[in-house]
Amino acid sequence: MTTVHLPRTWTDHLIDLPESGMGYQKVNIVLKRGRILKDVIVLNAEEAQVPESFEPSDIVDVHLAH
Amino acid sequence: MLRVDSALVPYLSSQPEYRMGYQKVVATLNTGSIEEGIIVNSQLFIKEGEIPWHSLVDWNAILASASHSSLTVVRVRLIPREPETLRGVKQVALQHEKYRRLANRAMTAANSAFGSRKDQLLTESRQLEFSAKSAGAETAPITLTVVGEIFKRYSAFVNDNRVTKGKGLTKGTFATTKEDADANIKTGTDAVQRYALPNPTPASNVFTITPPQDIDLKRGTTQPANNQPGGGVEVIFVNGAPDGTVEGPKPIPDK
Repeated sequence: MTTVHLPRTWTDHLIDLPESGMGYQKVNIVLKRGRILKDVIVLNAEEAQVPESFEPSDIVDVHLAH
Repeated sequence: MLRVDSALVPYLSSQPEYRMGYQKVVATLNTGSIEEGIIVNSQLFIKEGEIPWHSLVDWNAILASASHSSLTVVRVRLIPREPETLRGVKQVALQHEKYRRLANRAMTAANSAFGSRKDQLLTESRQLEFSAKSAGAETAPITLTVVGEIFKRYSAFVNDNRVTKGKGLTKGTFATTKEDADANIKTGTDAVQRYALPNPTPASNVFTITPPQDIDLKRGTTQPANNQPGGGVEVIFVNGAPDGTVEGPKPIPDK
């Protein structure tokens, strides 16, 4: 597990969305070329805990996982 | 049977029952040992397997008997009732509580009003009563904060992004009640366990939230998750909290 620091635009986006628990959100991160990272824990709307690193600039969407 | 420390009584009284008349707990005794059992009337701890409490008739004698032991319960972790058994009842009850309270308030105002204002308030009260009766169809269990209620939020981050620049909270932010925090959280590691946080870094930064009356709030119990036991009271500020209501963070020990 590695931590990717999200760009400020995505942090601002997540701050507008509800939390999944105290201090964290469970999200799906959509990357360029259609790759989707599911059920990613994001701490404090800024630190994504992902199985492998990726370029933050490759993110095209972040939405809450249900 | 053991006595429950009197300092725990207000907390236990404010917490939901497991079944009618008792709460199921993991209790820490003054010796440090841990026992599982039930607490009756916020006062008496009965270990699992002891005599059924329903068969005990003289409550004062039972308490007197328990007081002979030097052992007392000094800390508890409530075992929540299975969520599927509560969901329907709880959501309906909480929705009813919100609208019922607003309806009563409108009715009280109407009683001291005159003319068209009185008619307007009576109509409003009737509409809110209707909402109270039909609120079970809604899915979100929303209630309202009351005057003087205080909440705590634990974070591993000093710069918690859910706290706004104006010292409010953003929509959908989690916290816990002051009562739950005071009774159970002494360290940041305690908070990680009790609120089942995925981040193992101790949540040692404590924010205190003092919202005004009538802020929309969901209340529940933290379910086990993230390899943590949970069991804490958790609340969600559905529409956030207004500016000027958050203080901190104040640090607590990590361990």
